[in-house]
Amino acid sequence: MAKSDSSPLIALTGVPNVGKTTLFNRLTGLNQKVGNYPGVTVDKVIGRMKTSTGSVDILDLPGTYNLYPRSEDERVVFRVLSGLEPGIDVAAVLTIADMSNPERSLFLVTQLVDMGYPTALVLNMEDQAKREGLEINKILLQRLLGIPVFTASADKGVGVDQIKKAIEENGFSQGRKVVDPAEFCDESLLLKVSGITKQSNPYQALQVLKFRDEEEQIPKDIRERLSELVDEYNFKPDQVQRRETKIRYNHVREILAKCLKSPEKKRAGLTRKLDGILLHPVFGFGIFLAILFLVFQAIFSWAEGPMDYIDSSFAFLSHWFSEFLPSGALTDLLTEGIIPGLGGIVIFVPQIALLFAFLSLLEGTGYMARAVFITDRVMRPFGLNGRSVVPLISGFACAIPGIMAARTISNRRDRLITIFVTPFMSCSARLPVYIVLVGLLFPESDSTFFNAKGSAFFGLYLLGILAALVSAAGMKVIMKNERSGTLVLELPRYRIPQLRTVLTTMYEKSRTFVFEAGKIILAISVILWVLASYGPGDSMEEAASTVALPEVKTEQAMEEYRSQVSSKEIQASYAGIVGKWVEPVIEPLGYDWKIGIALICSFAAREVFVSTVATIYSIGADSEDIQTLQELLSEETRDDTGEPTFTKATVWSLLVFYAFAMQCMSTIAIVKRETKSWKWPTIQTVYMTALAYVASLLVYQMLS
Amino acid sequence: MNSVTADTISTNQTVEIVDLDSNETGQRLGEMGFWPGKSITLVLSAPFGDPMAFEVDNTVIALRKNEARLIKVKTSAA
Repeated sequence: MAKSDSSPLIALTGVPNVGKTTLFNRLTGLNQKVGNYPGVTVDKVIGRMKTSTGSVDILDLPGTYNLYPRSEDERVVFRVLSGLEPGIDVAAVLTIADMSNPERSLFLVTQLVDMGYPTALVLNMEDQAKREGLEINKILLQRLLGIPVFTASADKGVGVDQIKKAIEENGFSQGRKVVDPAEFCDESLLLKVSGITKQSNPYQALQVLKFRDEEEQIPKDIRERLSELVDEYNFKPDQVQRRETKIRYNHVREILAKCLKSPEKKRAGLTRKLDGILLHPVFGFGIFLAILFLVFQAIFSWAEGPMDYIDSSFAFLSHWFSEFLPSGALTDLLTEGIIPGLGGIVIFVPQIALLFAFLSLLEGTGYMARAVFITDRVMRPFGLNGRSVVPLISGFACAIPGIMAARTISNRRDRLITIFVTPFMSCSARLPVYIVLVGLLFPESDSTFFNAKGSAFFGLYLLGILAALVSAAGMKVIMKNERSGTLVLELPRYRIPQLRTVLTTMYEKSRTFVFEAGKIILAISVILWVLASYGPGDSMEEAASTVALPEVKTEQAMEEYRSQVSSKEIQASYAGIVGKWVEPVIEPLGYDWKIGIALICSFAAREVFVSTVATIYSIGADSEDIQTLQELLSEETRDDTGEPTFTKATVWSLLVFYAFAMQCMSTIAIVKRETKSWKWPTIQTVYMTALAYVASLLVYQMLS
Repeated sequence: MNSVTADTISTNQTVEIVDLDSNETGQRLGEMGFWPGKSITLVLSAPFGDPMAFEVDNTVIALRKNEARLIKVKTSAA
């Protein structure tokens, strides 16, 4: 057997906000693999720790307060530790507690011990506990729990070596059981359950029996058999649950009464003072908005440089390959399809990395929970909650990091709604489209403060927000059968964030995007490239040959010639054919088939609209110059009627279309990745396109 | 001794929990430390008075008003 397959698996658990991920990163470094659990959107993160004799795999389970499967995170932990996750065989459990706040953590520890796993406990944040004058009798705690106890300050790396050593030497032990499941029900019932679901431990069997209906991983026939047993033995899960909780609480309280020495004076004074300012009923909101404003300013301005650099690097690469390689279909595929496609993926990395750097900072300081706290009430009528604010506002920069940030929303319904409506927020890729089109509407420059252009922009942004909120409220009504969320949110103490955690988050999020959403983006961009660069038979060559070669071959004349050839070629391509094919459908919106081509090509990304329009109307290589583009577009006339193509009605209709339509394959790819199914991106794309269509239709028909 | 629900107490008021609703959210609150016999303090309220942040076991936990309503408390006779 290969060494990699025989590594024992250690599960890392703990309540939220105890530094679990920090310790995980310390133990495994960047040696981490992200996978999926079936049926849920939680990532399965496994890291490998090198030991002197080989390696140990560590599974970073989501932070939970207990092992009752109510949220998605809890369901994953429940499933893994109840032996219901195929392919995962947990050898031992390392659980982490906040030493300065042990009351919260020990409930979970008692459950882990009852599950029968060899366990060890890490009391993290030892430094803080010391500062606060809190003392724990480690030896007594060890004896009362029956498991090894370590102390550590994982963020500073203190105590990590000792934990590593314990893992290496398998220093785990089965603790002293707290709850005897036989107290709650007939032992023969538990034996029967174990016989059906193969749990070797009576508490695991009791857990499966209590939560049989929460767990879709249990096959339906087995669930039915379990329900029959519940009826036969008159088993009352609710009562059992309450009694169990009570026993555990009393047990934890007894243990702590013996080993914990709390300081006399009240703790967390600084946090209280900071909360007095940051959560002030009046200024709190202002501070929140100011922080967000700063974050997005920074994303816009800092990401711009790297994005331009990535853009020009990939353009250079394409150019270099096209010179270097023999010309042919394969070279074209590489230089015009694959390399720009890859560029279109990598270009998002600066924004994603920056947004997650800030989010990780806000999370690390403890402010994020406060942001959720003050915005929760405002978001609720729209079927959203406080955790939706960050994804939605991130959507102004780019929907992709926003949708990725929706992962912090634990309620399934709220999370799906947030993911669903985030692309309505006017992202930065809409800007070039808006700039060109709004410029067509108001060609004369106007420097007054409330000028027409500015108002149009504002209106378009407002339209996006409105669409997001109204759609969210609509979905809330449709999804009313889904379990509505509770808040129950811990406001952790303020802390200094860890640079290491920030960097790991930036790296992990960027990597996830490039490798997971990237595949889909690359595939679609290659398809779109084929559509735009090939036509049936030799139609493209024929179209190109209709352009007369200039007699005097000046630089300018050749430039003109080449741009006319490109224009004829794209018109004769498959994209052109599809454009003509959809013309009857988009005619009522005021678009001709040439605009149709631009709509199809800009499905890759909204800003492609500008460059495609430039190609179609043979505006040539200097199309980057927006002024020229606008002048030429305004002179354009339709082939069929000879009237101007870009009338006010058509331009408004296009603006509204781009405000609403899902013209972004990267968003579709990331929604697929985050919801782990094609169902949601499909519904979303259809919905957004339909809304865009109807709205543009109304606008055009009213204005024309 | 007055028995009221936790959403009605005022900021910085400390009360003792006497009972907890038995529905699922109530149970969840119990698992989070809101357990009969414990004392809780309302630390702060968000704008519009909702959600509310309670201190329990040295931890501050934010609850929505309708979640706090599930907790019955007694105000110590003042």
